[in-house]
Amino acid sequence: MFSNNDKISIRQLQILLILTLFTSVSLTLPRITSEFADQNGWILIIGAAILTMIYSYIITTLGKMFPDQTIVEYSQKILTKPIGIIISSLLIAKLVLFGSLELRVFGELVKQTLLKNTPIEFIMITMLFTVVYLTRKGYEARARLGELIIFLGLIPIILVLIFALQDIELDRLAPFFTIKAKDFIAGSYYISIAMVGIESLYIAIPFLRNPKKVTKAVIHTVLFVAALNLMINFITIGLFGSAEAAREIWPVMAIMQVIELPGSFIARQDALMMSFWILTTFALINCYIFFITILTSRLIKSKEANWINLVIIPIVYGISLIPNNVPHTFEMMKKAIQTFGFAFVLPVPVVLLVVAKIRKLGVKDETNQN
Amino acid sequence: MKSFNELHNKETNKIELDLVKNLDKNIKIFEDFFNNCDDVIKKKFQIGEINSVWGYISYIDSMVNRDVVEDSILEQMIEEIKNVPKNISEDTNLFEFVKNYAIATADVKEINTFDEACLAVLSGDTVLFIDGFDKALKIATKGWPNRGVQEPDTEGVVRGSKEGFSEALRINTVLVRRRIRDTKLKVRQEQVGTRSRTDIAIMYIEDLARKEVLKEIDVRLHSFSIDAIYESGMLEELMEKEWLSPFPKAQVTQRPDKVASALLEGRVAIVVDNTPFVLLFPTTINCFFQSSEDYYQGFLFASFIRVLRYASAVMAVGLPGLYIALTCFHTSMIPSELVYSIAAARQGVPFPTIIEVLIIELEFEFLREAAVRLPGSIGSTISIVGGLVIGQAAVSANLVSPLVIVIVAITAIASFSIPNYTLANAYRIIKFWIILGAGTLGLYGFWLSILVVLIHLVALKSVNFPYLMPFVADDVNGGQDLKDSFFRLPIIYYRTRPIFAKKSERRRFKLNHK
Repeated sequence: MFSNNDKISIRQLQILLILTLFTSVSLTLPRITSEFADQNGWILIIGAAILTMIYSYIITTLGKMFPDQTIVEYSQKILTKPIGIIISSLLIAKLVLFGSLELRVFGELVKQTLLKNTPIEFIMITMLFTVVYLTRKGYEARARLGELIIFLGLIPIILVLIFALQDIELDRLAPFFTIKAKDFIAGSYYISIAMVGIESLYIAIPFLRNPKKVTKAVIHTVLFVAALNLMINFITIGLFGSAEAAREIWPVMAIMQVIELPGSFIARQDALMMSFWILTTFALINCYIFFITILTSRLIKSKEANWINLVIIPIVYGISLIPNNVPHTFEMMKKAIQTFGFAFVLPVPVVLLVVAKIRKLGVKDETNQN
Repeated sequence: MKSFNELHNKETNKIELDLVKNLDKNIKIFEDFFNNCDDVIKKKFQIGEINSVWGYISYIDSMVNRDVVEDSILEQMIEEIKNVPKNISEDTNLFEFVKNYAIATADVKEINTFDEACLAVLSGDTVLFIDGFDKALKIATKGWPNRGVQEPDTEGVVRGSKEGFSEALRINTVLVRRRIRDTKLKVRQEQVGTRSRTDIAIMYIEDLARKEVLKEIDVRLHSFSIDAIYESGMLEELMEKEWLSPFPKAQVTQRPDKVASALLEGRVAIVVDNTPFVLLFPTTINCFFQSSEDYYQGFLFASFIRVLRYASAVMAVGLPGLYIALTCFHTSMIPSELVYSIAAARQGVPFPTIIEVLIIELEFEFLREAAVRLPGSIGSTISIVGGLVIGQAAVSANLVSPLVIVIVAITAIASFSIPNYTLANAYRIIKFWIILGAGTLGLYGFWLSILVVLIHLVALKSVNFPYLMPFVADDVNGGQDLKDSFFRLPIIYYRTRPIFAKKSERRRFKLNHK
């Protein structure tokens, strides 16, 4: 039955992960892949998926050893209290930074495609308040809204993109496999850390009804998102070629202007696409704000999480106003990804896992022995 | 003895006084309570001839069935007992004799307090006091004028039962009982309201309804005290936890077949006296889109109607907002031919589109309200006048453009095809919220305001069941409930009951192979 324990199912976790992983990178993905590897960018996506699977395997293995704790508690347990607090605070800082930049990118995108004359501040602040409204309703409500957004946002996006397949010229994708090993590694690595959202597994495990199955489920999710990204990349490069894709800020928005929907009377598909994108980006920004709230409330051991939202709103809003324009935002994002991105996906969980094993902490995981 | 006014409990308004053995004393107190109540009939008479005692009878005229009172009680008392007073032996006293032999009706109960006596008289029963006993007899004689079983005026069907609930609680429970001949159908009666003492009946099927739902309903029913309940709507509102929400958390129906099918799904019905509307708990938004007719017609047609209903629900909420967003903010999304014709139609209209839409929407809401309140004959006049004003005068006076009228009219018709009135009311309010969002931030505001509504809905619960149930958290019941949402599949696919029922009692259909 349904009790008010704020627990979610594995399927709901998968849905939330799909929304965050997909939204955090897809809109700009063809540009990134083209910058690294021209028309062979799709190989990078596969490489990134493999890396992401490694990250998620380690993080979930760690999480399953402490099934009712988030990183705030178990990092303090494993690596003494001060180091644990530093790790959690850095994770919060990372999420705040990424959340703010994502909000700014979103604001710019809405302004550019839908509301040319509206001040971006107004767009961002209304979004932020809507996000906080959902944050206050808890994890269960987030998961349920995720289930709706999959149908209202993600599936329409994919359907619209499928209509683009008819215009693809396959010779734009050739020649295959002309990629240097160095570019492959650098590109895969960059994309894998740009897919922010895997960090949510640090926090999600205590909210799961059945945490034992989480590793397999997350790996399936990563594979699914990789397939979606491959499709988007394939369509964009096939339509524009890699040189053009690297020039556009939002290549996926650009293809929407070219696609002809059969029998449609809508003259501008990018505005239509944007309206679906509003929903998925909402889910992503909500993911950041929600996890910032959870982490902060657990860090300072506050039962009441609502006032934390009120503190977060001005901070996130303030940081999101720092960049001067769209290129500057992306530059900051790139820097943030390069400096902050890696630490929490691999080194931190590996250190935590190794020390936990050495100190023999946590619950033994039975699923590994099978 | 306490002074007269102190006999009523301050909290519950109940009379805290037991009956006494002396009849005259009883009569004195009883008549004090019913002082200045001229509708109450009171009569003192003699029982028996030789060892005669005094009796006292009381009832309210027109609330009782006269035939029962006169033939089964008074005639028996006065005639029968007079002739056979010797039958009263030592061990069966007079009270037992009267109770067992002298009253020719089965429903007789002993009562011991003045509260029970007064309540019995006030609810249409007859009370008989006998001298020398500190107890009285309550004889069921209820029989007041009732409009009988008529066709329900909401939730009409073409095919299906034409019976509807009426104002009498007993008739309503019987209408349900007739459809489910099962001893496991329980009808638990209670009274709500310290002054009105309104009867309510909680109906459920014992082995289907979840214990935690029954318990939750019980807790909520006893979580308040109020002077009077006139309609089930008051009860619904008092039982809600999220009372700020515009969405109804209980399904309201006038149809016995709907209640019967809901009971067999494991839901709980609350029948309230004096109203033909029965409450069903728990409720999900999907329930509002299921009409009982869906299951009586072919599944293909029923599915078609279902899809139509969902589409109309989306239109009733979103169409005006979308129109404003597209015409005011994103004209480039509309094909140029249409932009020209919209612009041409708006020629000379002084208001911005949002004001235009609001004028017509509000006018329509006025008309709707007026048509409901006015007597039938004037109501039709109003709709003609309103139609003319909307259709012709507003356009030719350049107040609004004709396209806005088309949009508002489609919205209105769509809102009428939602089969549930209370849900349609919620939609009427949300429509304005979305108009506001779209009017300030275009398509972005349109989606944002929809998001706010969705966030509200995903967190909403009806007796701890998620309100959007089959569309979210469907894996709890293995995806079964989604089968009866957008489409009505053939009945052979509905092998299990929905999530409302107990897990162990899910199966409801099985093919019997030869």
